[in-house]
Amino acid sequence: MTHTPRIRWAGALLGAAMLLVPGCSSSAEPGKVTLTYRLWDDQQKAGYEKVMAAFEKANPGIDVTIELLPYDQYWTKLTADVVAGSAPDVFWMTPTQFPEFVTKGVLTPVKVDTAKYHKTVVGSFTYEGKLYGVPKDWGVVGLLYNKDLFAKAGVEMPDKLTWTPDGGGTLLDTARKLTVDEAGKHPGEPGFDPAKVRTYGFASWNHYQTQWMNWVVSNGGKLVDKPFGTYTFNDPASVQALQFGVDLVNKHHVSPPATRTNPPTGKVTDMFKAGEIAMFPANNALLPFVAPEATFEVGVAPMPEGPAGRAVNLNGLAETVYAKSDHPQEAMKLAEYLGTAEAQKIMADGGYVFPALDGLSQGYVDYWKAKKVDVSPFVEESEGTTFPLPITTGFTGFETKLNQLFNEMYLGKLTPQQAADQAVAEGNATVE
Amino acid sequence: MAKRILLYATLTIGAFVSVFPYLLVVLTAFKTQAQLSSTAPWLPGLPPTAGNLATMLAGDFPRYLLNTAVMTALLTAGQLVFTTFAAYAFARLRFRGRDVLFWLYVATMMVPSAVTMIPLFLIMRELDLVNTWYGLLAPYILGTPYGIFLMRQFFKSLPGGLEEAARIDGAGTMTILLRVLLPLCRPALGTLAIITIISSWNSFLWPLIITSGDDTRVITVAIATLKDGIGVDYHLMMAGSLIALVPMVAVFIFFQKHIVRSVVLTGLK
Amino acid sequence: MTGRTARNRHAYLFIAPSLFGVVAFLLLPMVIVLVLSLFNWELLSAPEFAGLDNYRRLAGDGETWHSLAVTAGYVLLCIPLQTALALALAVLLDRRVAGLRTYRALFVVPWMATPIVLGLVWDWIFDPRDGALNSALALVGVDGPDWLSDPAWALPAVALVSVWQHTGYNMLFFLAGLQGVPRELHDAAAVDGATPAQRFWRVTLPLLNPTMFFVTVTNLIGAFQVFDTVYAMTGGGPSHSTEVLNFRIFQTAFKEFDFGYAATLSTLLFAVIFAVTLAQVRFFGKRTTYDLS
Repeated sequence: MTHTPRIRWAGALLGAAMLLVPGCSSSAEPGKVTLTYRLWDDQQKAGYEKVMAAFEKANPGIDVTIELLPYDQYWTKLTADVVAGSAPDVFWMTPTQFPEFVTKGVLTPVKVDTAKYHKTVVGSFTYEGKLYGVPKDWGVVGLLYNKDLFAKAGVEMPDKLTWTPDGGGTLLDTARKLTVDEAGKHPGEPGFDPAKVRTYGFASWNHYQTQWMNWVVSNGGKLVDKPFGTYTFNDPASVQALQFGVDLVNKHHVSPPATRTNPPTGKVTDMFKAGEIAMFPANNALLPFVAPEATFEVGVAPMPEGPAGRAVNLNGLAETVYAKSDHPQEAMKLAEYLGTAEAQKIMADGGYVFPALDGLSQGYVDYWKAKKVDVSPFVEESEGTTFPLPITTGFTGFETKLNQLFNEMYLGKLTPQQAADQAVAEGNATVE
Repeated sequence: MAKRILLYATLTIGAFVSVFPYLLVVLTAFKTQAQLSSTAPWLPGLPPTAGNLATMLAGDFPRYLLNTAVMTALLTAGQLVFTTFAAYAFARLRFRGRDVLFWLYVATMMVPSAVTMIPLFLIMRELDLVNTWYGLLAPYILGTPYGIFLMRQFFKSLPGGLEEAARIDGAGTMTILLRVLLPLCRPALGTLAIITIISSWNSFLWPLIITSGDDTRVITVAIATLKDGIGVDYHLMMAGSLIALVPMVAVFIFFQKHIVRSVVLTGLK
Repeated sequence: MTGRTARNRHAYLFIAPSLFGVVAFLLLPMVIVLVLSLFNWELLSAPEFAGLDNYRRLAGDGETWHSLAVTAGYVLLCIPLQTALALALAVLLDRRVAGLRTYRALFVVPWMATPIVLGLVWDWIFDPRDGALNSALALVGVDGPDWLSDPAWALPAVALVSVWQHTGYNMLFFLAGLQGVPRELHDAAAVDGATPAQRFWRVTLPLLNPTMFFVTVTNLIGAFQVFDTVYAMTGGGPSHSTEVLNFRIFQTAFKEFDFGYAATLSTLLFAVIFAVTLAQVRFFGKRTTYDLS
């Protein structure tokens, strides 16, 4: 009838619960140091649990706690932690975020033998002549393709794909043959309807890492004049390359319209998985999301060669050490361990990543061979010309504007020259 | 009769539009990765698989569900108690600084949390509450301005003579609140309970910022980790979301029976 | 006299816990943000006092004024619609309807569901070719637009998601409010010959004023601060057509690491919301006998 007892009951419950709630810290054993290691990849976490077990066994005085955060919020949380002085001891770093954190003194220089690691990864984390992160792994852009669609169209993957800005080369030719509309017509044939395409030969879209930056560099254009320099991708060679990427969509119609592919909602990966796209440039890190349970046989080919040869983006990650770590020596020990063959081999053999340490790629290749995907073209590419993403301060802020401008370009609302000029101007205004 | 049909038609269409996007979540939760690519989002994958749900439940997800349930229970208990007292005072008692204080409460809702988050995080750091349950709960457990605002409006809509009548009978402030007013506030308390439970259950950014360990991980953060920088495990995310929704629907159905007309109130008219 | 003092003491006791929470965890951070708008702070390095520099920059910052206009457009697109729909649903459900509880629950599902997943689902629905929305429109012979890549449609699309998400939620408040409207008043009005429409406008709506005040004030605050859907669905594009102010604030703070200026933009947003809320207080104050101040 009355409500008083219920309120009292709730109050008592609340009080009791507050007392029962686990306290602040998991009381550490005396003499033991606990390090925090932060990453964002749910799948790799399983691999690192093995790595950390091996590390803890070799270093009985150190415990490692792995923290997994969602990628989108990883940087917000890391920023808050750096401001509060509570960042993890060792954490993952990307080339595009690196300049912000290294120039503000957040990271500690590391001492490893740089000659043993992939040079593009080393270059991505070098600032004023010093290396600020233990090279962890790399991912490289290659061409995933749908072998079933090739077979159905009776098309062979050429030994070497090539492209030229004027529409020559085997890439466009192959893509045309693989592009079919509902009436069975190919682009260039009379009666072909670009609005009713059933399968697209290629995926060209606004994705800097796997798309236009590769066109630019393989056409002899330059993204930035030097690391920590300014943007230069509005030179004639770059603009020509951008035009090529846009033409694949709006002129040659071998690629889906930008309305369906523009970020942040673009569905290119889904379309490739659904068998609507034959050739799809992608980072090898995408394989776990595409290859298992694929409804078709997935092939891997090297990216097409442009007028200036083949140049592909190689995106490395590093294990960085927090400059204000409470346990600098132990943290450095962990980071260095993560760069050893013992640790990186676990990650390679588990099929998680290509390790940054040279000579361990075969483990990754073997893993995927067992899954019936031949990933050796990625390795071949990594041994040729590779380039990192632009290493400049301000890229993280610039990225959203860049994507917006280039969305317009792929929609055909801005010419490549206009889009590149505006982007370079905006970008250079953000460089410190 | 025609009116009745029109009513049901409207309600049914509205309900369909309401639920349709979530229907896609449910359908996807029962698809294999292969079916995900071969069927339209609004068609079921045949045969349906319980594999995604099993995968989610086999991992650490149940533990995160428990964390979330503990957090939700504590926040709701705190909110119901402290909000009721504060809202009552703001609505029906006179004291110096009442209106200024109340509008200060409301004003705190007007600054975007993206920027207040950093100072709040620093405060928590000073109090040594980062990565603790206390830090996770502290900002919300003492009653939120939103909840206080809601309850204040309900208290205000009750007729004015109630307290005077009770006071003549010799009742004190506490008795008036608990014996006279609260029974009249069942619809409001039911609403407050529902929105507190559901918004605590779905809270994302604060748990993510203030804690980072497995001991305090909540389901929204766990689901978000399935979306990588490069790819999305749609089927697992949707399975996780489905698991998360079921208890909320149950909670809603349980609490909504309190949102009914109060007989006492009409009797007092 | 003693009774009044005792009640006063009670009042302070009653608000004490929440006051502690609000001051320590909400008001203090808010004041810090307002103060930080006078600083240059790149987050990762130490703040420097900058006087009114940030405000001078704001005066000449066309993009911010544009995003304020976008925000206003967004608010106008979703608030009237979601409030009216919520009220209509509440009135429809405030009676004996078979399956009442099921309907209520179904309407609230959009608000109960995990937000992060819904962004992904709406991307599917808005796909211009294979999406559910345009497929449905095609059935009735309408050629749907390229929702999220058309500058004319992107903002309405984002607003639509908000309406979808919040209509059932707001309905809850109106439902609870309607329980407080005495039946006798309705009956009396009916006896006086008032039509159902007249009864709604003259009896129900005025008595719902406290609820309406709460719903519009909190919804406006929420709509002015929209972020999640924009972040997930459009990233501010196309052509800045969905670049709402809070999105810009997040970009400035966490992508450009310009926290001082982000604090300035937040102060601007705060001022706008404060002014709009004040206008509502005035508006509702005139229309009701209840003490709203």
